[in-house]
Formats: sequence, C-alpha cells, structure tokens
Amino acid sequence: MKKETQIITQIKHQQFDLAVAAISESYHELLYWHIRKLVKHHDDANDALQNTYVRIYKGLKNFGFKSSVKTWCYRIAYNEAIRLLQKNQRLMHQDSIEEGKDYFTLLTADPYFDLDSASHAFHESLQKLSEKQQRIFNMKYFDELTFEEIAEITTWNANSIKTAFYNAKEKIKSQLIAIT
Amino acid sequence: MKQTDQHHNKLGYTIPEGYFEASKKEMLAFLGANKSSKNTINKKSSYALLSYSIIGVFLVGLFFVKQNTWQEIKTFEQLTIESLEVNEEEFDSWFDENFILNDV
Repeated sequence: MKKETQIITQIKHQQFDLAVAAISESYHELLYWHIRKLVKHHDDANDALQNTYVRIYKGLKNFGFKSSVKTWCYRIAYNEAIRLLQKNQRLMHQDSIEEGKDYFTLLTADPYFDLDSASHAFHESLQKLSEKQQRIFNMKYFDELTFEEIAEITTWNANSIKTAFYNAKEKIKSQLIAIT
Repeated sequence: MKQTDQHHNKLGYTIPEGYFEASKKEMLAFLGANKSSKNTINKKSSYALLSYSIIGVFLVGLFFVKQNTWQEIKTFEQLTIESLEVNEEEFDSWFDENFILNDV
C-alpha cells in the first residue's frame, strides 16, 4: 500500500522513470508469473513482459487513477499475454504439424519446464477446466487476486467470476481425489 | 521466492538462474534506450527540418531572382525590337526622299 501511494505520487509529479522503476520493484515477479501461466513458455512470457513494460511506460501519462496501479499493470500484462496467444494461435493454424501436439508435448517443448517436479494430476485437472475457468482459477489461486481485481483485469462480471472459481475449485478437488 | 517455488512445485515452471534481477535491469535499460533513441530521432528530425527550410528559402529566393532576370531580359528584348521598328510613314517619306525624288 505504501509503495502504491509512492508510485501514485510519482505519476502525479510526472516522474515516469521513477514510477516504472518502482512498479518493476514491486510487481515484476508477479507480472511475470501472471503472464507465464497464460502463455506457458518462458520465452513467450519474457517477450510479453517486455511489451507490458513498454505499454506501462507509454500509458503512465494517461493513467486515470480509476483503479490501483497494481490492477492496471495486471490488466496490461493480461492483454499482452492474450495478444501473444492469439498471434501464436494464428501461426499454429498455419503449421499443421503443431496442431496435433497435445498439452504436455507443448509444455515440455519449453526448456524451462520441469516435467518431473510438475504435478501431473494438477495439470490434468486444470486442463479439464474451460479456458475461462483456468484463467480465473490461476488468478485467484496463484496470483492471490481478489474477485474484484480479477473482474477489473478481465472485464468479466464479478459474480460470474465467483461462480466460475468455485466450480473450478470443486472440479479440481474431485479430480485430485479421484486420482489419488 | 514463494511464488517461484509454488509455480515450480505445482506447475513445473522454472526460470533461468538470476532471471528476475537480470530481466528487471534489462527491461528498464530497454525503456531508457528507447527513450534516448527517440530523443536523438527528434533532435535529428529538427536539424533536418531546419536544413530543409534553409534550402527551401534559398530555392524560392533563387526562383525570384531568376524570374526577375528573365523579366529584365524580356523588357530589354522588347525595347530592342521596338527600337528597330520603323514607322511606315517615316519609311515612306524616307523612301520618297532618297529614291523617287532623286530620280526626278
């Protein structure tokens, strides 16, 4: 909260370099993991994170103080990750060999994926969720965002987010019990 | 660190060693470099604009000077041609005087 206030003061005084540095200090790791869960591969996450920084820097001048800086940065990172996914999807459609690859093959194609330490059961249960449920579950469970924050980031309805999360949680729980 | 461990243990995601520290610096440096190159481009474009305007003023000046010179030449030619023109009456009287009257 103290850091958030500090960043807001810097934006108000148009100290954008300092504001970006402070954002990086506070949210760099969080933003990376948020993107990584969406795009899966480390290199893609790194690219999307760099674009996120550029957009944050360019957007600071027009920051409207309508949301917290944290949510605003998450929203930019989320949009950047989705943009990259759409771009990759278009490329994958052009490459017919890629289309046949399954979820784990795609994950293991990344040198920064440790198949041995990954929980197969957890991945499998996540994979059975809808795309929307997966995103909501990840944001709530791993990023520890509130429902209101998720609603601001995704522009989805807060109530539908709550329902989707509880459904996803129940599904994962029952699948993990069934596996073990 | 907590986030990194959680993502590793549950999802198997790893990152290169020292990634966060290095990428933080790299990304801020990237923004700085972009900003300074933008400033250089702005400086360069203002220099270019200045030199183009100087050239423009020079060309316009040259055009006016040339036009004036042409006008002067035209006026001169006109004057020369006018001076060579002989009035018909004058010519008739001159002809009468020198040829017809002499013959008579």
